[in-house]
Amino acid sequence: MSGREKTVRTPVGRIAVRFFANRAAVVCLGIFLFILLACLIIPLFPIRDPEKMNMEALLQAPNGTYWMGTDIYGRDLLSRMLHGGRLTFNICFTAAGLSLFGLVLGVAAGFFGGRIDRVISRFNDAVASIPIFLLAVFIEMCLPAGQGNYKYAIAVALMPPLVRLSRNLVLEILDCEYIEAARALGVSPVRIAAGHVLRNISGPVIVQVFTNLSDAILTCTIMGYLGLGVRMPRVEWGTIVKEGFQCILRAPLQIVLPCLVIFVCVLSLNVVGNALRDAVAKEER
Amino acid sequence: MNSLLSVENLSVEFKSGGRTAYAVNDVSLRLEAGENLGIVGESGSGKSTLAHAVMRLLPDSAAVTGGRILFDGRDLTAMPERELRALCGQELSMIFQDPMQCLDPSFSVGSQLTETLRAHEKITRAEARTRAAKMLRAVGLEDAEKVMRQYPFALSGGMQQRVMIAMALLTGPRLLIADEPTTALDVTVQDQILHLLKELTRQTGLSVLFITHSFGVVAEVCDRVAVLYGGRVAEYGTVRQLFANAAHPYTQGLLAAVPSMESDREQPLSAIDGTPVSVFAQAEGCPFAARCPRAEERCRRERPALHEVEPDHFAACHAAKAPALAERTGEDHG
Repeated sequence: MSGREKTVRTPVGRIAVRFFANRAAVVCLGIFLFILLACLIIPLFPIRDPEKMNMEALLQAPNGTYWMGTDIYGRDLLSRMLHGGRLTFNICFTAAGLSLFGLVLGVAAGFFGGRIDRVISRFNDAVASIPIFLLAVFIEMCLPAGQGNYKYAIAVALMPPLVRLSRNLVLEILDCEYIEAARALGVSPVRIAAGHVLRNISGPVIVQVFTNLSDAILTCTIMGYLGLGVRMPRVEWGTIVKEGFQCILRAPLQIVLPCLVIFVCVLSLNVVGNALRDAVAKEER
Repeated sequence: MNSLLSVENLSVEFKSGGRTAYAVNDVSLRLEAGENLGIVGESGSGKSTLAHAVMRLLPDSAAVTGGRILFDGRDLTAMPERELRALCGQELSMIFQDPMQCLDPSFSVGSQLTETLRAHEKITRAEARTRAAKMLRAVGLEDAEKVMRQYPFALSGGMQQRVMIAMALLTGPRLLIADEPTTALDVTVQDQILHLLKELTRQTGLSVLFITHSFGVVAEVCDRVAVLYGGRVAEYGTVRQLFANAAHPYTQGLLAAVPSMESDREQPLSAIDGTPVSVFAQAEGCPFAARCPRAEERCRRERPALHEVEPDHFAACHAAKAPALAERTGEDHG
C-alpha cells in the first residue's frame, strides 16, 4: 500500500488513488473522454455539414481544409465522424444503460433464491440464446427503420452476462459471515440487500459495465457495417466504415481512419476497465 | 421462574445429497440468568449447529426436527421470522469465530455499529454515534472516535473482536452467544478477550453461552459446562464438578488431553484413540462406545440416558450410574 493510499479513508477513495496511479489507464481515460466530448460538443457549433457533397473534392487525402479527407461524394470525413460519434455514443450508452436492468434481475435472483432464482435464470438463459443480429433485423422491421433502434437488440445482448455476474456475486456475498453477523444482530433483510450486498458487489459490476460499453461500441459499428445501421441523413460510425470500404483501394485512409478511431475508443475503454478491476481487486484482498 | 435460555430435546438434521446428517440429537440444556454456560466438544460434535439453531441462522439444508428453544419462556423455534429478528440483537446477540469475516469490509466501523443500533431503536445518527463510542470505550477501545472512522482491515484481530463484542452488546442484550470467539486470535489476545467478557458479565449481569473446544476457556469464564459428543450431551454440570469429578469417559479423556505445567515433558500428550463418530449414522448404543476404554457389551446395544450422578451433575454413561460410583471414578481420575 503506497503512502498516499494510507491517508485516504474511504474504500472508494483508495480505489481512485490506485486507479490514478496507473498511468496507462489515465491516458486512456483521457483519450476516451476527449473523443466522447468532441463528438458531443463540437457538432453543436456550425461546422461543415456532414451531408454536403463537394464534387470538386472527391476522395481527398487529409489536408488543411479537410483534416481527415473526403469520401467518394466529397463529404468531410471529420464532420461525419463527429456527427456519427454522437449517434454511436447515444446508441451505446442507451444500450449499456438499459442492460443495467440485468443487474436488478441478477440481484433479485441471488437474493431471493428458490423459485424466483429459477425463473429469472431460465429466462436469462433463453435471452442469452437469442441471435442478436436476427433480433436487430426484427426490431428494425417492427420499429421505424434506420434510426438506430437496434440499440435495444444490443441491450438485450449485453444483459445476460450482467445477470449471471450479479447473481453469482450476490450468492457469494450472502455466504459471507458478515451477512450472518448482521442477521444475528437483527439488521433487516432490506437493509442487508440495499447496504451490504449492493455495496460489496459494486466493484465487479462497475467493471462489467465498462466492458459492456466497449462491447456496445463494437457491436454497434459491426451492425452499421453490415447494413443494419442508420439511414441518411443520419450517420453513425459503422455506416462510415461501410462507405469507406467502397473506395478502399483508391483512398484507403477513408476506411483506415474511422476504424482507427473506433479501435482507439474500444481499446481505451478496455484498458480503463482493466485498471478499474485491478484497483477494485486490491481493495477486496 | 423461567430459565433465560432453555433448550428442550432439540434435534437438528442436515440433508445433503440424499444423506441425512444428525448434527444435534435430543439435546436439553438450561442457562439461568447471570450464569455462563460453556458448550465443549470437538469438531462435528454439533456445538456450532446448536448455537446457530438458537439464532435461527441454520443454512437452508438444515432443519430443526424436534424440540423447542425457549428464551425467557418464548419459543424461538415457533416465533415468526420478523419477531425473532427484532429479538436478535435486542435481547440476544451473537459473536463469531473470525471477526475479520464478520465485519463488512466496505463499511466503516462506526457506520456498522450505528446501523445495528438504529435497526432496533428510533434514535438519531448523532445519538447512535455517541452510544457506539461509549460502548467501544467500554470494551477497551479507548480511541473510540478514531476506531469508528476506520475500516475493518485497519484493525488487528483483537480489536476487531472487541468491535464485534461492542456491536453485539450495544442494545444491552441479556444473552450473548459466543461461537468460539477466541479461536482465531493469538493466545495473548485470547486471554484479553476472555477477561473482557468475564468483566462485562460481572458488571452487567449478561449471560454468555460459550461455544468452544477448549477447557481452558471454560475454566476461565463459565459456571456450567455441557460436553457434547456426536450431537448428544455426554455430560453436564458445574465447572467445578466436571473438573474435579468427571463422570463420562469422554470428558475424562478430554481433560487428560489438556497439557499442564506440571506434566512430564518427556511423556507424550495423551489423546483419545479412534475418530469422531459419523454424523450420518444413528448408532444404537452409546455414540462414544467405539472409542471408550471402558465400553462393555451393553454400551454397544443400549444408548445411555442422561442421568444425575450427583446433584446438578448429569452424565450419559452406563458406567457412571450411582453417585457412589461417580465418586470412585472421581478418585481414579482426580
